[in-house]
Amino acid sequence: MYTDKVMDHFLNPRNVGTIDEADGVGQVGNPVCGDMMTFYIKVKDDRLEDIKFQTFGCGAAIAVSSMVSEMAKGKNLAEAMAITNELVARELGGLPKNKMHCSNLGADALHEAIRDYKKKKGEPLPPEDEASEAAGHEDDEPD
Amino acid sequence: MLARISELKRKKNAVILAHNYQLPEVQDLADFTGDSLELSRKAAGLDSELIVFCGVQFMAETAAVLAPAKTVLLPEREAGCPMADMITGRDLKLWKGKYPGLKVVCYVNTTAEVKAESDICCTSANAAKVVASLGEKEVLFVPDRNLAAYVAGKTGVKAIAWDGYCYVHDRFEPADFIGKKAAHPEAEIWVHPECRPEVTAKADKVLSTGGMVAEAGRTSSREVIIGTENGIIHRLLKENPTVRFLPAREDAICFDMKKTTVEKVLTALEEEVHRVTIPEDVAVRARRSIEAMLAVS
Repeated sequence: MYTDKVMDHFLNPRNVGTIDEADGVGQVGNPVCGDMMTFYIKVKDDRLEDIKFQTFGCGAAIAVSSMVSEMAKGKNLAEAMAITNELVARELGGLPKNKMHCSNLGADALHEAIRDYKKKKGEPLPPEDEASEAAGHEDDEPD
Repeated sequence: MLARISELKRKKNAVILAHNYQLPEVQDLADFTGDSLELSRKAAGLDSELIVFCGVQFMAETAAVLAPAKTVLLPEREAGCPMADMITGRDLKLWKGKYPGLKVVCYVNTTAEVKAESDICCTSANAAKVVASLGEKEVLFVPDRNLAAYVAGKTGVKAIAWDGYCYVHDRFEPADFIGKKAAHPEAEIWVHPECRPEVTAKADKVLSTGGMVAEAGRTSSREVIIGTENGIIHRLLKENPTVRFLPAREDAICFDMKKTTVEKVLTALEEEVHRVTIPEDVAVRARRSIEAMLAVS
C-alpha cells in the first residue's frame, strides 16, 4: 500500500530531532487525526543550512516530514516555500489517497518555520498556505 | 573531488554534459552545457564512448536514442521530469486512437516511448517551425498545453493538447513581471514558451534556454527579467557579466534538476551508474520522430 520510498523514509527518517537556538520554528497539527509536526530551521545567507523535525503521527506523516526536510536542505528560502504537497507526494512515489492530507502538513510546517524566521527578522511574510482540505484519517484503503 | 573527476574522465574517455538548469557547481564541471536537444546531439557527435548526462531521465533517454552505441549515465537515477511523466506511451496510444488521421507532435520533454508513438518531435526552440512544416490544419500536441497554445498562436494550426504542464513555468503570472518591470522600467522581459499564454503575451521575447543564451550575447539591454527556471541565470551571468539578469520569481526552481550533485557525478564515473538503455524497437521509432524534426529544423 505504501511505496518502498515511503517505507524507507518512515523506517529511517532523515533529519529527526531539534535545533538548539533555531532561527525559526514551525508547528502544525491536524486536530482530527492528531498528527503533530514541528520543524526547526537554521538559516545562513538566505539558505536553509540545517533542518530538523519532530513528528507525532502515522507512517505517512513521518515519511513526508523526512522527505520535506531532504528536499529543503540547502535551498534558499523562496525555493523552500515552493515545495508543494504534490511535489512531496511525487518524490515519495505517491501516497494513498486518504493519506494525501499528511503531505499537506509537512510542507505547511516547514513554511511556518520560515514565516517564524522572517517574523523574527522583521521581513515581509510570505503568504500563508491554504488550509489542508482533508479532514482526517480514515481507515486505509485495501490494496 | 574535482581532481578525481578530471582524472576519471581522462582515464575512461568520458564526457560530462550538463543542462542549463543544473546546480552552478555541476554546470561548472561539465564539458558542455546546453538545452536538452543541444546536449543529446552533442552526445551523438562526440568521440567519447561514455557520456555522463547531468539532467533528467528523458534527456538521458534522448541521448541514448541518438547514440545507441554509447554508454549514457544519469548520475541521479531519480531525476525525472514531472511534465514528461504526465503522459505514457500507452496514454498516447489510446488518446491518438480517438483522432484518426491527425499527426502527433511530441515535445522533447517526453519519454522515449512517447516519442516512439509520435510522428515528429519538437523542442521549445523549433516547435512552431516543426508544426508549420507538417502542412496540417490540426495536430495533436503532447504533453505541454502551454507550449501547444504558444505554437497555435504562432502558426495558426489548431493544436489539440494533452493537459500537461511544467509546474515551474506554469507558476509564473503576469503580476510577477508587472512588479519587476515597475522597479526596472528599462528591462526587457524574456520568458520560456512553457509559460502560460497570459505570460508569454507580456514578454518582449519568448525563448528556449538555448535561445536565451544566444540572445544574451547579442542584446543591447542592460537589464533582463527572466521567466524560466533560475538555474539558467548562472550561465547567462557567467557569459555576460555586464548584463543584469533578474529572476521574475525567486522560487522558480525545478527540484529534479537540483538532485544531481558533484558527489553523484563522481560516483557515476567511478561505478558507471546509472546506465540508461532503451529497448531497440522503441529506440528505432523514437529516433524516427527525432530525425523527422532534424530534417525540417
